[in-house]
Amino acid sequence: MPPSTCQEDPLAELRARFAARTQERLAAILDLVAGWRAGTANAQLDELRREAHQLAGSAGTFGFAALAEAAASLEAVAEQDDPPFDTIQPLLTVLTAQANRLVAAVPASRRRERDRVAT
Amino acid sequence: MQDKLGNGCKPTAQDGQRRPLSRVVAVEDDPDIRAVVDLALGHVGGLAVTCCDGGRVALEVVPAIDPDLVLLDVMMPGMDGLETLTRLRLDPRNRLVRVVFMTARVQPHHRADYLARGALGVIAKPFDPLTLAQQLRQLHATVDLSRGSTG
Repeated sequence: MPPSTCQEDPLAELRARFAARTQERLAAILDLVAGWRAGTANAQLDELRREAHQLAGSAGTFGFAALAEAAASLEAVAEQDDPPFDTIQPLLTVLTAQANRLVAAVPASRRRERDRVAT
Repeated sequence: MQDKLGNGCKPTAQDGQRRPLSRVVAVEDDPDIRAVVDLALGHVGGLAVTCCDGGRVALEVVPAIDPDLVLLDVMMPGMDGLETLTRLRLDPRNRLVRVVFMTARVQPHHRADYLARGALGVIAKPFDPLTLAQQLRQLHATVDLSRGSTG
């Protein structure tokens, strides 16, 4: 299919969908950190690294640079062997703030649509 | 020889016989990025794109599709992009398939490793969806496509 000749952003729909799901991705990351802190295996840390990596990549691709940077910082720390929680905590704070900013920018209609699909 | 992005480009005397980039298999585990790649290559880029959510699926899809190029994420759970490329090459049907990695790990030593493994080039994440197809076309246009002359 040839590219559209109109001026609309072809990514707008996907970008809005991504933003609407950001809170879920953040919740998944926070759950992984909680599990890791509870002393379970390093698999939690590997999963955290993967989740942060994915979030960094997709946020960057959609143009959410601040969120991407926050997620990339978390990914870098999660790559370490047994990183101290003191290094992760402030990164989670930044990540949460950026995610909340993004979610707040999502139109209410989009959030309602997401909630309807989820239920 | 490398282009300005550090990708391995090998213009050859057979350039005039090359088959234009048409079919692409994209392998990406993240559903959001997969959707963007699908849109960027299909709707924006005008290519026939088939998306796979992981390396194991790609091993089945690539020989069936016989794409002009495989766009391959590096960091994926289960089978990562590097292992996927290795396994693709073990199948004689894929011996000549051209692979471009797409990854955030694009430091010079990473790039050198990808090219040494036989990748055609590297697309850095985050990528620009509006120019992704053009980047792939440029990479594709610089490679020896001896297979292109035979169909």
